[in-house]
Amino acid sequence: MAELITFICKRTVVSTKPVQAGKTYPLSVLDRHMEENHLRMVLYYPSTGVPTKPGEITTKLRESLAVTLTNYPIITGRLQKNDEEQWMIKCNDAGLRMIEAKARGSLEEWLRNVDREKELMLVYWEEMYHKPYFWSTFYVQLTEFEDGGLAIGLSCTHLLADQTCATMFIKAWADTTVFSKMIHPPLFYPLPSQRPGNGKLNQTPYTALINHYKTSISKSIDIVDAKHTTVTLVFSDDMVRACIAMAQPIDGTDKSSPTPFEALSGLFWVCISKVKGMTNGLVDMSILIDMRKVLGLDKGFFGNCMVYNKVHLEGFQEDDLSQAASSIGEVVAKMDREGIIDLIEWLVCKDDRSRSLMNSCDLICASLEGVDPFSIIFEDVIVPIRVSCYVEPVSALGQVLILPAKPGDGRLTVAMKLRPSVQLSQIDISGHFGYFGGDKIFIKKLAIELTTFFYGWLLMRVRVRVRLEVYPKVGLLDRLRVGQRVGVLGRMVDMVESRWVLWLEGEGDNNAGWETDAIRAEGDQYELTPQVGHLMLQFTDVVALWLR
Amino acid sequence: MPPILPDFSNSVKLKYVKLGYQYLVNHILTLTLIPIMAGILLEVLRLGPDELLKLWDSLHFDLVQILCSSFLIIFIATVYFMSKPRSVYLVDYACFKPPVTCRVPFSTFMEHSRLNLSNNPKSVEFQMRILERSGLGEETCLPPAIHYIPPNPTMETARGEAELVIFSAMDSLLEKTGLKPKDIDILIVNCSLFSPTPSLSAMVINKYKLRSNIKSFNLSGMGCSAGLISIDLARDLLQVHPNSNAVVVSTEIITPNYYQGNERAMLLPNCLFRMGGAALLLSNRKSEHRRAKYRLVHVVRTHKGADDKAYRCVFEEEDKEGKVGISLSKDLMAIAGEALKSNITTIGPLVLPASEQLLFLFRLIGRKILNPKWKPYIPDFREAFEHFCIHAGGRAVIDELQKNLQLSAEHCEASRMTLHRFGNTSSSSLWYELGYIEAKGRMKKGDRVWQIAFGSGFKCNSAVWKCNRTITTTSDGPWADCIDKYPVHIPEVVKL
Repeated sequence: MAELITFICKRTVVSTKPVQAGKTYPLSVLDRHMEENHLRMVLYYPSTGVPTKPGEITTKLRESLAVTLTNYPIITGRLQKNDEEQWMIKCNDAGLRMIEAKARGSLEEWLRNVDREKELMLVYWEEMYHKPYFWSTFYVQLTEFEDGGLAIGLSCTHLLADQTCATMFIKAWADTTVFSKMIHPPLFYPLPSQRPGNGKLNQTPYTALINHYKTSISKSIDIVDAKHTTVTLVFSDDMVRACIAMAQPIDGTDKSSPTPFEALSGLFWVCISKVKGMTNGLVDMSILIDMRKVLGLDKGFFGNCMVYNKVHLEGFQEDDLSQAASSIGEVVAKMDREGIIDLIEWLVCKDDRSRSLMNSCDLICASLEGVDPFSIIFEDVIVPIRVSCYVEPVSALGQVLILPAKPGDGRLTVAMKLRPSVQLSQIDISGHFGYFGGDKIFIKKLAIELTTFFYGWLLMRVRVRVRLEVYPKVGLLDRLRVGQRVGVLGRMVDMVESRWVLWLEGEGDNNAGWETDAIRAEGDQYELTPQVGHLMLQFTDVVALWLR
Repeated sequence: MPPILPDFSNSVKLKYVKLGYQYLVNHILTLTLIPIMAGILLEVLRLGPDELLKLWDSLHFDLVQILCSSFLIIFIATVYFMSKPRSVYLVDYACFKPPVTCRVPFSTFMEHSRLNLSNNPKSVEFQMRILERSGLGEETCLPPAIHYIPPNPTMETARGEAELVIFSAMDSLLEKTGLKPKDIDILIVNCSLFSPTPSLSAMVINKYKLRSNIKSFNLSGMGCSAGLISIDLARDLLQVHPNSNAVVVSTEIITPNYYQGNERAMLLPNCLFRMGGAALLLSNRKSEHRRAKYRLVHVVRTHKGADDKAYRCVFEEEDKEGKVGISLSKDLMAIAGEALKSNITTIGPLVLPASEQLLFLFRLIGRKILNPKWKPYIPDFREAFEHFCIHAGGRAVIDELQKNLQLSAEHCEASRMTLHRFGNTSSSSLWYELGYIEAKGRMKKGDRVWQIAFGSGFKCNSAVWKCNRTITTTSDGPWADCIDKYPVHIPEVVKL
């Protein structure tokens, strides 16, 4: 794979204006809890159609990045310990590391065969150095595809930023590129720590949240970087609605219906517990929610503002999705401003310097609905065709990220990341990460699959139906008759507007041979993930023979 | 504590004595002519018109005599004006403004050094100490290829830098002066360390499609003082080519010369040299006389290359590992001082007012006859020039010159600020300094400017310009966006 991507250079991008010397920035308690994690994001952009010289886009983006960085002294700064041995940022103007690379072929081809290892080649990352003062906390990789297309990879330490923050940074960069100004400049201020009134502690502090943090910190273990696999599912509006209906409490009519997050996280909680072999009750799960709104912070608030909380469910009856969803709903409702401020104060008082890993034990279900990567537009109207997101390392049980889907493709995307275990080996889907995106056919197909998925863990058997369009060469048309059927497993050829449309359908065990991950479509071009691609390859070989 | 008041009053008196002396000596001609003229006028008034007419008649001129004598006067005047060297004017010049994306803050520079020289922390420490004391600021720029980790100095990237610097400077010169490329008669490019084939001057000719009978020159290997050598060459050429335009491009291309070894003496240039370049239009055309900014008065070049020490004090060579770098000797400052001395003894008589020259002469005679232990008189060059552009080679060079020439802080301001904002841009630094003075609005008609440059060889070259018109500040140029911030205080040591 190495020859697919050529690294052109590694360099440092600095802001256009010097930072005031000696400026420092403290990190909040929530920031410090995320020290062991890092974020990675890849955004794929199709080419604009305007022919460009190699490196031209990269140069342009690098220049606008330099302008953007002028407003982000924290990103160009370096980590340093303060007198209390806590991390802080020294805004020393050192800059952000950037990698420029080029990839062979086109973006579409790439997306057809992408997997985790390959995708990680698009997001450069370096682990913290022995001397962190010389370690860049943010990395940007720009990969230009020779036949058009661009991949922007951003990785950063979770110590500084959460997903919302990282997305806002890329958005600020994009806005600077297109409009030469930032629409949402970042805001740097500390988390609220004092209640507006008197500084008295709450009479009935929300102890459950604090307790969760307490146990998580004491339990936190080192994660060995085992291979995990990702399934990405795109939920259309209809599917989300159906799921909410499913999660609606049967008896209680007074209760309001669950939110999409509650419904979907409930669904996956139940499903995954089943796969994990839990016959009684559910696996330990924590939810991770962006607290910016609850705390009344601006969207541009820079820093970590995601809070973990444990969900409980006693006496779970099998397949009762509503129970799961409502218990999640209860927990979400309890996480109010008071509760979070209690937690922050408790963390400040505790002042624990030991390294902790919040997401080490439970299954994590993160709500990233506030993150909107598809609004990041670098060139006139071109939206990313795919966005992938990683929060590494992944906990022992796995991680479910719920994000907005690409407009037009669906409403929400679920990127489910699980570590292989005895149970999970059956559904070992060796694709990986979260593609937020997907094609309409897939969505339709998925609707059926999901039903089975919920009741019978369908992913053990997968049925794929793919539409393949063939642009025949002149002369071939004569040999093919419209509507000719090819008698292999569910294959059919239609003639649509002088293009040959091949419907392929296959079914099989979801194992290493051919696993379904995601299929996506964009206009006339169909991009397939390796799993479906593998299946397709078998068919296309037949088709090619046949066309010859 | 001894009382200081008598000293103070003494010095005040001395000041007035000195001022009176200067006035007396420098205006000796006026002062002697006025009484004579007044005497003649009084005599004429006393005699009255009749007496004068009688005097005229008594001379008995005839027509032939008058004709011959007037012809003689015309002839002498013609010969005088013809033999006078042609005035060379600096019409305008443009300095390259490096793109903001090429900025190298200290921390980035140090971080890169640490990553690139990871097995030699001592060299990194050394660079840090140099940088702390260098007098450079946070906004100096290095070419793109040096920003790579590790640096990637290839021919292609070096050419890229040359094109960026030279073409940007040329473009802005052509725009400023309205000069058409076809009107360029003489082209001189000087770049010391990067000398590709075809030459940089050919590159310029190719880009701007210059005339085929252009006289082009490419000076390389001549160090930081080559800018004034180019001026000298252009002046000589303009003496023999009437009605011509000469374009001079002074620059240094950093990319191929970024030293990647551990030798301390060779790491020094890495810390100091930064991207920069300037393009100048010199002309002897009559039409340019009015709009030209400066008139070239003198160029004085001194070369100390005959001395082995001076010859080797800036030397490009391989280190022990075979990596090429430019080694700066420890004796540099002493040698620069020597070169400066011989340069000012040459230029002194040309530019200094009579009062300073007399003082110098008296002291010299005194030293020879009375007491050889007397210190030689250091002439006060502030009497001869309003502005000084000292090559921003490094903080030490400027300090040394300030001390030797007894200049005030304001006289060195342009050099120090140029070093702070642009670093050592080699031969073009003089033009950034001139740009600084102009941007500050200090350049008035009739002001005299002294440019002093030092360079490998070892050479000390200086040029004297006279301002041709009061220069108003413009909104373009390399200083336009930051001139209000300057002058800044440059601490002795910047803590990194």
